[in-house]
Amino acid sequence: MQINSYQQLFPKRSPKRFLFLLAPINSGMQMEMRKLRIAPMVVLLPLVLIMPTIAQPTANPTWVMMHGRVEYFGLNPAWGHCGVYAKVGEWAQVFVAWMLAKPRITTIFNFYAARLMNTTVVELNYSGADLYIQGLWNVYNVTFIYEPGEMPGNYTFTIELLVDHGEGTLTVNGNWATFMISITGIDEVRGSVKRYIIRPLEPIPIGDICGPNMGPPDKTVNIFDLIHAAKAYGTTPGMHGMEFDFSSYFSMDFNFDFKIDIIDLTTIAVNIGESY
Amino acid sequence: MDETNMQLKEPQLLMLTFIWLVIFIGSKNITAINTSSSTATIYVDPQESIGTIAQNFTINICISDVADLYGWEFKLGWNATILDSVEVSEGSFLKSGGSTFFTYKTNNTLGYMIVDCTLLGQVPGVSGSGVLATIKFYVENVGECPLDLYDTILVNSAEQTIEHTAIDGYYYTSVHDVAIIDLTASSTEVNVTVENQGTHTETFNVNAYYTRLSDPLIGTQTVTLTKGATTTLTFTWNPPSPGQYEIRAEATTVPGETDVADNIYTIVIHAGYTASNPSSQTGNSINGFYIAVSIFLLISATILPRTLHENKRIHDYVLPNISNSEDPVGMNIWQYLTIKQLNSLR
Repeated sequence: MQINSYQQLFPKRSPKRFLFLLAPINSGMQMEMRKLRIAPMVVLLPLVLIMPTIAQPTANPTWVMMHGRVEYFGLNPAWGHCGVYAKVGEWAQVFVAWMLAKPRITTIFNFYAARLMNTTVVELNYSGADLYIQGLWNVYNVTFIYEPGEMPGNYTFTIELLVDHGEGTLTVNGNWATFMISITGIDEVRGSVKRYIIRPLEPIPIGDICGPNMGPPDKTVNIFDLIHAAKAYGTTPGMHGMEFDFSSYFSMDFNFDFKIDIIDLTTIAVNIGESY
Repeated sequence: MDETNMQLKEPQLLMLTFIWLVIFIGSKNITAINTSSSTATIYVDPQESIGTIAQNFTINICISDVADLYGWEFKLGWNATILDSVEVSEGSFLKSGGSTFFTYKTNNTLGYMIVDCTLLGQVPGVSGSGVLATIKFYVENVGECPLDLYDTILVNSAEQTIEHTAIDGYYYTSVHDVAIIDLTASSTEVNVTVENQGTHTETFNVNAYYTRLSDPLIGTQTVTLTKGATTTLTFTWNPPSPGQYEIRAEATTVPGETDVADNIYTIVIHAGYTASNPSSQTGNSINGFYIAVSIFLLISATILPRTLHENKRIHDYVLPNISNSEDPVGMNIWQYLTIKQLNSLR
């Protein structure tokens, strides 16, 4: 049976309805996803964000967000992005992407990516670190191969799993100056903290990626953020014509599917008007 | 000497050229700034919206004279006790430049919405004028309020803000309502005071009746009233015989009017007596009394005809002057019955 619609695949009341997030990019399902309204996303996105959880709710919850720039992979210079969003004592979402050569447009664009799959510890001022996150990580080697000719055009990409649920930690040190990720089986990933927010009691709204006139984040999710992501709509890492550097690209790819798509725009949209 | 002068003049000439160049470039820049300074305006269309209670009305949020618009955001506020936003949809303007992403949040409790729209991908912005969004409201209650357009942001394709002005709209509920607010009458005149209690100028008829055995029309006058205006109309009449009369004035219902209870006003008067104080009257509050009197009248008519018939002198009875407070109720009825019954008995 050919499946032409997302509704057809997952009936309305099916709990599997939200599985479309795991659908491969560029599938026909993505077209269907565009038809989805924002409302389900409001429910959906927090669910996605808190997927890696540990069940120890705190009395006075604190949320943490950090963006860092990857500078070293082992002893080698590296370029990349590290994003952290966590609720202290409960769950954390960490995504890191880096490459060993300075990012430039090529037909073959290769980089590493690591994602925290399961959180066991997420604490502030713990074990000598400003932020300490421990858990199980997956590490990937990702390659995009773009067809020559006018871009953006067709492309293929491969994801090679290098580490499957390896133990590892992320530590932020030096009064939120540097970070280090140590995952069993690969070299350490180190870099500098570019921005961090600690907010007690209330969650930090996701989506504040820039301010007016492409300035720094202005602590409000608004049209400037939406437009910044919209300008990158449809792009993938290393795509020709993509005006965003490797680091800022991943600050917009909220669901880390290596594509700025309707889900990323919706993530911003549901938070528009929110300040912190 | 000339050579020295020339040597001096050369740097001066260079300096002069440099100054002219600076002025030229500066003037070019100033011109560029002037030409690029936007006259864009974001506004509510129509400026004044009129709605009817329990019905919807629609406004557009429009843009004019904008250049290279890539995305926009606005907030719109209203009085939540009067209006409810029921629908928000994207206008055609930004869509004309390519695919767009449109999103909005509405808070009908606090009475505001935030609406955003952006083009997608590496495309140029849209220039000109058009509709950004269309908003449908439901009128919950009668009232008026500004449609406050605030925190408006226009952004061009270089992600730079576009200077602009924002113009609010205004809403008020449309009400068609005319009323008779006073009615007085004498043996010769009926004065009807009518008021336009709605929001439009209305033209309608005012009828005045008296009731005795039937509802003869005293007269009809046509009146045109602006919003909030009142006027008193005088109808001349001649009661066919002395007695108690119900005077009723009716204003015809104007199109769209729902409050019609106050379009009729009734009083009861005593008219036709040859006295210095020829009439007395009571307003609506005496209707109950009048009904009671009428009932008594019917009962009397069935029980007492014989007595009346025997008492023929009543036919020549001259009624004393009576005021409302002195009115011997029975006397009026007896007078009424006497005439009626005697006539029927003859």
